[in-house]
Amino acid sequence: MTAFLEVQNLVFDYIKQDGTTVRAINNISFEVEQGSFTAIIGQNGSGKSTLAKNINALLLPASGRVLVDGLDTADPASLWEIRRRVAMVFQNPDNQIVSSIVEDDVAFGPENLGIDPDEIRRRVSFALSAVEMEEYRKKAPHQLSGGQKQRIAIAGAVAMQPACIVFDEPTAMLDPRGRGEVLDVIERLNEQGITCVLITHFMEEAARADHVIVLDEGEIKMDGQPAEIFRRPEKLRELSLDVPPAVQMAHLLRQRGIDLPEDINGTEELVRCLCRSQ
Amino acid sequence: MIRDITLGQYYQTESVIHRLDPRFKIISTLLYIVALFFIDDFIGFAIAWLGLETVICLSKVPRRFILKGLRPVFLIIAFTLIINIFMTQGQVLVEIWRFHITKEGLQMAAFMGIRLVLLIIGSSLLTLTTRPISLTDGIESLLSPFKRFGLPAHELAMMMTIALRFIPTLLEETDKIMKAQQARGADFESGSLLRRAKALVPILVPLFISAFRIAQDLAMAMEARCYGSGLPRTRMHEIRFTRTDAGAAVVFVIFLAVIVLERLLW
Amino acid sequence: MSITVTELTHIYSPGQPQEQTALDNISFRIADGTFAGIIGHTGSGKSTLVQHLNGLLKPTSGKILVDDTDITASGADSRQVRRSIGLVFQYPEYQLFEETVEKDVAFGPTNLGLSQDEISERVREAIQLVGLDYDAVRGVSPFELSGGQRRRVAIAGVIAMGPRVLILDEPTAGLNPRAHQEILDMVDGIHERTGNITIMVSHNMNDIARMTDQVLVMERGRLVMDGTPREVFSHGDELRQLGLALPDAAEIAEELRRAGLPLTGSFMTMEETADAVAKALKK
Repeated sequence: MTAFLEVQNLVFDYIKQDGTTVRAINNISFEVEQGSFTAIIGQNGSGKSTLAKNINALLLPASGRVLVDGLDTADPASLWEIRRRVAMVFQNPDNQIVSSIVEDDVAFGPENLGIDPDEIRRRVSFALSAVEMEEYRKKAPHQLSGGQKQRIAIAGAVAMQPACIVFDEPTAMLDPRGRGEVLDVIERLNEQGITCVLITHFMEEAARADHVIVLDEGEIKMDGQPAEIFRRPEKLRELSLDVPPAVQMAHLLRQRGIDLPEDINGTEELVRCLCRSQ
Repeated sequence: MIRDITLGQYYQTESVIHRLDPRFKIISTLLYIVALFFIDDFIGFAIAWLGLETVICLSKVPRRFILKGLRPVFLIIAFTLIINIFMTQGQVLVEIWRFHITKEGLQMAAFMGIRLVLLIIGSSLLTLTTRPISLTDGIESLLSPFKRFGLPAHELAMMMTIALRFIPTLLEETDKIMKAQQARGADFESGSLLRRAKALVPILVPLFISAFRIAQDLAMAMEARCYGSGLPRTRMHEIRFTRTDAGAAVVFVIFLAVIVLERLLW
Repeated sequence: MSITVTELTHIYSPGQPQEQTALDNISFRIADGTFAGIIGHTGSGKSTLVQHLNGLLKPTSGKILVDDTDITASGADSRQVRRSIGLVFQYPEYQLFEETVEKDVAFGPTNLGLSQDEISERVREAIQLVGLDYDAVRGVSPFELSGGQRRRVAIAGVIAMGPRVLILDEPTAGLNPRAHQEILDMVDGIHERTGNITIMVSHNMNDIARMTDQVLVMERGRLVMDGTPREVFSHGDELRQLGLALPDAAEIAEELRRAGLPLTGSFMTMEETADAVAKALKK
């Protein structure tokens, strides 16, 4: 496995209106493997969105380095190449759709890259089918639900044929149905080989990733596989993060004297363990 | 209520009119409007109406949908009619108190009414049959000769695209904010003009904040999608002047000629 | 105070091609002091329903009685209705507009035409009730506060009107877990202190199961279930058919039951489920 993203001693400062600086990210380092699904989880103000914008050079580090596929985000010459390789999907589904017709919006990225019209059409069809929205290609965004709009935004990212997509809290404004739709799409894209970085504050979403980074006050507090993270519910609670229901239940059952393995993440595993031990 | 607005809306369907080059459609719409003001008798209007009718049939846009677009401008039409009926001097037909209805007034009102209706239907056909993006692409292409004089044709077109995209969003937002302030006891319907103007502050401030937030988010999202990369932009839908367009142009020129001849000969 | 809704129907754009029945013959009653929850998908009519309850929308047919007053009657004083029934919209912080927190919260009471003393008193009380430090925030611009705090200010703006029923449309939408829990604790606190009817629209079944006494389930403009959380969530299959989830505690219990664990009853909290599972396993 090779690292697609390398974040090395990243520091980022915000300058407030009154001139004082606030340290949003304080010296963090991590790597994201090619083709992996990484979740970055933390409270508001933990620096997770700032981190996301540092990955594709929408923000630049105060010190330290961010390498995307070996390219340094601080190098102006590789700016557009980095943005082509790392696409981004934002929180508010309404505020990132440029065009009043779905397929035209999906084409926006490739058009900016100067791709041949025939190739754009192919990519738009592919991207819309990847998010299962082909039948809506001629619709206006305001006729769609929140989850559907967010899937269009994802299609817009896919059409740029990126190696990696960074999702900056894509489900925060959606209802449970929309959240489910978006998460399914993310998982499917990951299976097709796209490196996915999901910024979220929902623990049950992080549980679906294969690598979880917990951020708090601009620092990495935990870093590992979901099972490793969930094994320490006290630590998570201290950081005011939820524990997935199955993990919580396993914890409560252990307190009641039931012997369960340490690495339970989901309900299915819990059911399997309990009904086997019976 | 907000969902009812069709003025400036696009109607999705497959038709010859939809497929025409947007540049041709924009220019012909402009010429058609000029022609409407050139016409000076009912036969001329009949010809214009016939032309319009042909386009409506070919466009496959339901009449109901077109007429709905007329509703918001109904007041303007009614106002024009009244002004023309009562304010035109001439042979008096009816006299009510100090107002006269004259023969010339009636004729003038009928002229203006027909002209307005034909104008509005004609121009809404342009937006109904041309996707917003093609429309702005068309405008960009038509304006591009002026680029050498420093006219930012592409930027203007982009602004229009974004405006068209966010009109429904902002209308929805306005509706939401109005209701929220009403729930806090705000009253937009009564009181003096000054009071009513002041009552708009609690709507306008949140609305502006919203608009700025959208602008900020959108700018970031566009940048992330490589807008402004300096690479030559391409288009998924290229505009091409095809043989159909040439045919349509010939028909349209004949149509214009008939209108001119009618004015000169009758 | 109680709310009785009888055969309420609302049709958008009646007689037009885009006619849409948003509420279809809805009847229910919420007794005094009840904490009621409304669940259902986006577009199921929840928001339309709550907007009727405080007179922002008028029904096409049907009646809403608040105590014995018919608020849908043609002569009903809509200001009086809005004064006694407070409605907090989704993302209410987007409606803030004044320079200071104090002025913004005072907007509602000022519209009611109260005396200056009364207004100041209510503003102070409301800001304290939503858990903010009155002296610290009164002079601050609402736009300088954090998202969660801004939402509190917006809720205070409704509470300051002195409503006897408080309706909240998804009060925790878009908040992270910490702020989510804080807002819910605040809502619970207000409900307990005032003893008024509280109505909360929510997608979070755990919150609904834990906090409410009565649950209304909406689907395509119709009221499909009405009962205590325990009653409503015991209809797991029906809810799932509507595409709605169960509380985590009930969801896990159902999975275990399906796998053959003998669990009976319905479960609202994780502790209840854990106790039952432990008991079933030790048998």
